[in-house]
Amino acid sequence: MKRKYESGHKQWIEFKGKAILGEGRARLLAEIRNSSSILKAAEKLSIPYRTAWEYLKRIEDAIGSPVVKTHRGGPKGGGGTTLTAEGEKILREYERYKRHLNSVAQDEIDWEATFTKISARNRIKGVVKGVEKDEIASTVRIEVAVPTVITAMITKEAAEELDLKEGDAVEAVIKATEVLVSKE
Amino acid sequence: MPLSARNRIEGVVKAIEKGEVASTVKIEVAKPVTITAMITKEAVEELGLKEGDKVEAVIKATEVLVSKE
Repeated sequence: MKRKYESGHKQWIEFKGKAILGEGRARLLAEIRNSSSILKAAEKLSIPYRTAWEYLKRIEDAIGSPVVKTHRGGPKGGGGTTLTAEGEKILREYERYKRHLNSVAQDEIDWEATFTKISARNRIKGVVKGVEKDEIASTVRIEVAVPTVITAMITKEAAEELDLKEGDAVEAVIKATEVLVSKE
Repeated sequence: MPLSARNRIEGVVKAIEKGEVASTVKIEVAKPVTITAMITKEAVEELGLKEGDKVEAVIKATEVLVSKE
């Protein structure tokens, strides 16, 4: 049986080495921010109201500061629960970090560098014709099937990690957005 | 045009897919090897690119990754 594996990641916010906010609690804070109501937020997440309160209390106990504040409504309503400045801050930090991690996970160049997933359109098979190692950078000349040689400038570290030497069968990988087109 | 790029590969435009903003240009550099370039629609129009055009695919050496089995 051929197994197919997927990679993934989770993120959380810590305070003094203790995890205080993960995806579940972050969604709760985000829903409170949207609806100004713990009850509505709990309903939206399909969790009991009590559980929502417990989540909030755990964050508050850990950081020693409230993350929500409740406003009393007047006779015409207007009551509700909103995030405190501290609550906003934690949620923003979580969202910012999540966006950052997602962008890293989707960064094709990064994946290409780790050689686990490659989405580049251009993969040209060839043979290493020469490796010139410099202090930091190395220049690798790759003769491709086409009667032409492609030059790659990669770090010395990468050249050593791949143990590149003349005669090696390699592929030159180039993102389509990095190819310029020149016409006479 | 003189360019500093180390890689200049001659080829023929095999297909152009124009998008709203970006366009994909397939350049056959030698059968059956094709290089795909993703450039702006504007650039395609400025060069008057069409199938059969003789072009060069230009790639900076720092943009080439090396993969080894």
